[in-house]
Amino acid sequence: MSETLDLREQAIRKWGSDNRAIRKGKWIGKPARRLEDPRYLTGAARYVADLELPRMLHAVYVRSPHPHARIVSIDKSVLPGLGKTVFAFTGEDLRDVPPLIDHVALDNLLRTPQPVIAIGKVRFVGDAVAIVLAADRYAAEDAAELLSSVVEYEELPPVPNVAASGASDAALLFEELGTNEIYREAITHGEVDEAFAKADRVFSTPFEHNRYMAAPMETRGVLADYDRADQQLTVWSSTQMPHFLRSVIAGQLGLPENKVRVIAPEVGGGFGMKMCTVPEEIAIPFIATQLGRPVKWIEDRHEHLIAATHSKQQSINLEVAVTNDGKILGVRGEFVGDGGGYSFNTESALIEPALAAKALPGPYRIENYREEVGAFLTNKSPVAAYRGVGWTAANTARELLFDEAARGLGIDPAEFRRRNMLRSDELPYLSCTGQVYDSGSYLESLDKALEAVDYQAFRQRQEELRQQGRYIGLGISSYVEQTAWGSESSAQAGTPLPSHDNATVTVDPSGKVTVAVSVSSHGQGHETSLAQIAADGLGVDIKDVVLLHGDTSNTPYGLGTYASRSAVIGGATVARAAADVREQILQVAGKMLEASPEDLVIEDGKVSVAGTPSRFKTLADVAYAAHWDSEVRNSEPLLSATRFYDPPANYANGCVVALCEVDADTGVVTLDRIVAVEDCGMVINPMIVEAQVHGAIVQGLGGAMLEHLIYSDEGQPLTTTYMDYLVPTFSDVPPIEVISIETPSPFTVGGIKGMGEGGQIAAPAALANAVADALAPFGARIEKLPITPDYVLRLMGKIG
Amino acid sequence: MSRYFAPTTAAEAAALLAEHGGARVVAGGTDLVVAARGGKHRMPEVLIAIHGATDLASLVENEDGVRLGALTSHAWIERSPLIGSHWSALADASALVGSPATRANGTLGGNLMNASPAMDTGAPLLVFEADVELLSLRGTRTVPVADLLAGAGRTTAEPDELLTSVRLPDLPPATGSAYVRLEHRRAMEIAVVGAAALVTLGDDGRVADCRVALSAAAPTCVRAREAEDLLRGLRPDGASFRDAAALATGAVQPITDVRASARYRRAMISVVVSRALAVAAARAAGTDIAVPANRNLPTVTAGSTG
Repeated sequence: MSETLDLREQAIRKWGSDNRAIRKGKWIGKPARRLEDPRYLTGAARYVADLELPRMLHAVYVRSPHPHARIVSIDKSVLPGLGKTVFAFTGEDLRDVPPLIDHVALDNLLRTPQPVIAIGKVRFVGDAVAIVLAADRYAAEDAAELLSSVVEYEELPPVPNVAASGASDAALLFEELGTNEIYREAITHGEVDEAFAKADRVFSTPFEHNRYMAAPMETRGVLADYDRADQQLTVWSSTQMPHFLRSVIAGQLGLPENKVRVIAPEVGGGFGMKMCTVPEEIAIPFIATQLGRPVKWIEDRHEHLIAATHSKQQSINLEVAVTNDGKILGVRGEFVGDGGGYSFNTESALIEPALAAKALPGPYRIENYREEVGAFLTNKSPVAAYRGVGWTAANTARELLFDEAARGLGIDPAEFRRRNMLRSDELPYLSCTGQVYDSGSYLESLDKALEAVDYQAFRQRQEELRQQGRYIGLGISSYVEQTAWGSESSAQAGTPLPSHDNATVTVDPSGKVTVAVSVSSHGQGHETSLAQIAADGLGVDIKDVVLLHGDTSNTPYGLGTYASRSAVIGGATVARAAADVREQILQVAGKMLEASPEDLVIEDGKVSVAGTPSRFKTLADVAYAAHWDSEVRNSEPLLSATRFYDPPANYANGCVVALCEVDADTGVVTLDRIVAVEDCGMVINPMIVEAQVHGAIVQGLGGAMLEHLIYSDEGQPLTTTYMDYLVPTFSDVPPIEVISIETPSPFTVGGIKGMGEGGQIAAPAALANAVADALAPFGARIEKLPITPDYVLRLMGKIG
Repeated sequence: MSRYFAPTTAAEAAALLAEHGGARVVAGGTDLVVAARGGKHRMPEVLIAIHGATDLASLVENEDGVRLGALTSHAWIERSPLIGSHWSALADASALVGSPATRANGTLGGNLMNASPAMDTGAPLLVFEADVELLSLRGTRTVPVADLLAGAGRTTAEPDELLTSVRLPDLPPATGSAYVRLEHRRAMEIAVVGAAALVTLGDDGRVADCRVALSAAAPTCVRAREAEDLLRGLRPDGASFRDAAALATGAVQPITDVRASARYRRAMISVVVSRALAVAAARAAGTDIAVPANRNLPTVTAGSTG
């Protein structure tokens, strides 16, 4: 206990948990309707594809049809009008642009520099070979098709999977590395061998996590315009990290950073895929600077499926040592990532296996743990971030194995979890992998979820139906979700990355509020939830708050939105800046009302003397005076403040329970119901939280039941349309109930924790465990996803 | 693609087909264009878009049955009380094609001429013993659907022939039909395997006639005649359907693809046949089972249909 208290104190001392910075008034906690929705719902929102500039050229990529090949020649001279109406750029033409390399600070990780257009060789079907440009998309497509037909390749042996990648005679993706295995590291926490030696039972499972992808509604897209007069480059990109992208573009193109502006207009979903800088975001701006004309590239759907980053794929071998009464003594896990053709920039190929390894303990008391992480290159599209990075796979493998262990020991799976789960009074808790769980409700979440589905009644009904030859199942998946990626979270996750974020709050002379944030919305509702924080901070209506985001020219520097960081970081920066501006307002109002600023309150846009509401000035009056009245204005009159926040790590938690029925004739799984308990600390907007849970669960459902990016043994992608790559439709989603618990974080401003990934982290295990539970009479063990009807019948032993 | 024509009559379209070897006909574009954009094949050099040929959108009813123009959309078939009540299996099938957008654009003629083994309308047209009319400058000929389908993506139509209409022959009284398919996803899906069944009940309540056809089970949609032969004269009950369905497996040569393995498909043939027969027989007996049957199957318990 004393150690954990120390942890809390250290964290608070280190980070300064100024909870007073956040004021909870009329708006925080309210399910306010989203201010941004009218423009989404009426089609008025403008995405990159909607933007048109004079003299704009349309770019179309020539992409490799081969998984692994040398580029022998690209004869651009076949293009009619080359250099006049049609332009083409190959990797050789962009030789001066440095390749993209990951930013992970680990010495023993091999690097795979990725040219923004392939030079010399291609490493996956879809690797960029050339960019063709013309005044309209039709002409550019025709020219790209023509150029594509004359590229000469010398095919190399494909490396379609990890097994092939690690073979002694495997072709090498990067000859200079001498190996396809770019990382291998084992770390032991506690006394693992002893734990396994004294265990009553050891359960183990191999688990293959499928390759799937974010597939947002809006594909990727970039528009770049270089103004030769001002020597100013403006890049519109469907990105989650506009400021970071600005830094990278400036570095890659050798431009002063203050001459680069990046704008993320409306972004139609990112889910992590649009976090990393992609080669296209460098190549298109480079070409715009070369041609002196605006260049637009809009990815099409086929291109998206083969060439946008994939995610999630890794193999996990997990073993758990237990006593006969179900106490976990130790865990061993091997996590091997299938990174694709390049260890992708920003987060590297470790983004899946390393994050999985560190997060494996989850909400359980696991003191003895050996984690081994490996990563291989293969001739497939690179793996990068997608909602629940690494954590989905870890949670799925762990929760499946724990159910397996419970079944093997004859202990109810809920009870097995209870016996090993951390109690709320054990938090803060330092996990064996170095993650500091700040606070939470692990047992309470489990119990609430089971209560909602009437667990005991379900078990009875399950037994009755089994007698009739019907198979229903219930799956439990408890999770801890690391949120709010700042410097500390990323270090605790296993891939350290420094963090920097700010918000500026300004009250103009009319008393209206403008909030400029470094986090960047791609549909999450920041314009509402962050306005709620500013509105409470300043005592105004959310409709009087305008939120600026996504444009580096009018927002302060910061890292944008990924890894559930915006509520905590955006929220805290806004709250702190609003608190400062509030002080500035009260100083002026104090003089106007002849009262001490400490005695004033701001409510509903009026500044009044506490207890005497009739003595007031409107915020508009105060703001006007603050700017123009030299009698009362402050020595620095601008009503504006910019504040920074880099939060301590914090962890949301919850439990997802799924109910299903398996058609024993066909293996078709019908999902009946999903219950999700979500604890993300102080809730800013419960409606947005609920919607995030729904969305994440649907994406998790897709990964567990339907979505699979399949490559042939020759390295060819087979799922190249949305008829073959199955994203769940509305009719595939059962009713989802969301139950909220609020355990404020003691570490963060306002007790806010991040959220939004838990559904994707937890749903696959809940669904897989539900199917395994339904099929328990057949001794079925789920060892891979997705759970197709074909796989279900195999698990039942009905087909070989 | 270099040339695009939009004729306004079938005759004009046939003339264009004769003139431009290698031209492809496009109606809704839901197969041709999607496949080209997905990199499965290139867009043809010449496209003849027939959506403006209004004489291909006709509906003719006479004593022989009903003749549907090639441009009849899946959405129309799905909602047609005439098709739904008489040729239910076709309505079941059209209602499952793609999404509402696909069904509004996609046509019956296009579905047939694309000749995917997994097409939903193929098996129903086989059990109805439907035929099609093919038009060229040489004249018109009538071909049974069974003879039209030659292989995966192949038909016996000559390159210059245009499919103008599909005839659904009239059916005897006490006849019901159904199309049932297996799918991974509940919408926007292609059949993993599918089966159409037609059952005519005799006065004695036994099966007087029956036809069974399969989709996604062989290079083309195929009839399962052994199953049909077995069932004639039997009582329309679960046991008979199961026995008949087991024989349907003899007609199949399924493949392994991203959706399912050949083994799974083979194992599922008897399930979908059995389910389609059960719905068809129920409809023949006057039970109202709404279109599409796939989404309105009675609760199934293990072994009841397998």
